[in-house]
Amino acid sequence: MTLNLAPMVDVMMCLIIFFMLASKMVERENSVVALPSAAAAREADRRALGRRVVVNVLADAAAAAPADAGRGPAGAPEFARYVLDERPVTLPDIAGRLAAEHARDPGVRCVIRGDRDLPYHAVEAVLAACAGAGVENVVFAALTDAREDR
Amino acid sequence: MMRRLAVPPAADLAPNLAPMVDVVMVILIFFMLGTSFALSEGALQLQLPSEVGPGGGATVAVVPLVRLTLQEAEGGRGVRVTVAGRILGEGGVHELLAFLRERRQAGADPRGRIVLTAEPGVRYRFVIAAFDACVRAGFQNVQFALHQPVAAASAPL
Repeated sequence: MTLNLAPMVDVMMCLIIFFMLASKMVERENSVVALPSAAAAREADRRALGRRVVVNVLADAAAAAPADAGRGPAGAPEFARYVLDERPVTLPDIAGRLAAEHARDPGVRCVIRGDRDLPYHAVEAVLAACAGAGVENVVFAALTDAREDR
Repeated sequence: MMRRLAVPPAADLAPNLAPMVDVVMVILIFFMLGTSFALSEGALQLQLPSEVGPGGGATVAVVPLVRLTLQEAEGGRGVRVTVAGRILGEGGVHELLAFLRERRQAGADPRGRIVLTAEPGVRYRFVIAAFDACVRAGFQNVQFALHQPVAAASAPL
């Protein structure tokens, strides 16, 4: 009686293919962000976006933790942290990176992936950084599902 | 004496379905997870005015077709939309969409400039919803007014 290895090999091959594809889907530039919804948002074709700087604006739970001091009146976060290429950065860092990318390619885009519950000033600061760096093409990432924020 | 090879009975020649079931299960799990990864993330494109270049920050004088202002309401849970100083009911962005569609049907130029100003405390989702409403109503030239100073950036990361 021999052990039939064929099913195991099949499954292993599928798992390998799965992880190869999945690791491409979850690109490093994207953090996990609760994006807002927008019915008019078009599916993002990453190649069509071309050269881009993806700025993730996350709700900073750590800053809000002590005595819930960082929560707004509706229990929403008040503090943001910025992530570029999986690294936490400051607004001057973002401005510098945008300026450097703009010097390399004037057509560079800034993709803003902001947490839906953050106050607007956290995102507005990134817009100001774009304007300061001369980056004119700004893209807001949004979910295209049917849920609407009204 | 030659020994004859034993021929298995026909019942033993049935195909082994176990590998196929394994593979199908894995593919099923793949698609279940894969669809959630690709959770229909889209993009809303915005073109900042070219007057605001490196070292900009100069106030740009614009004559908008529509000037929208978003203010906090219901303690941050909602939004109040003001169009040219007039509050648009209590329907928030829903009423904004209806208002903009009316303007379009009345012959407003879709290339006309809409300037969107939001109070710093307004939740980001409402700002995107207002931008979304402009795009859905057919207006292509939406611009954001900034409260924050625009500083020239030169230091690379």
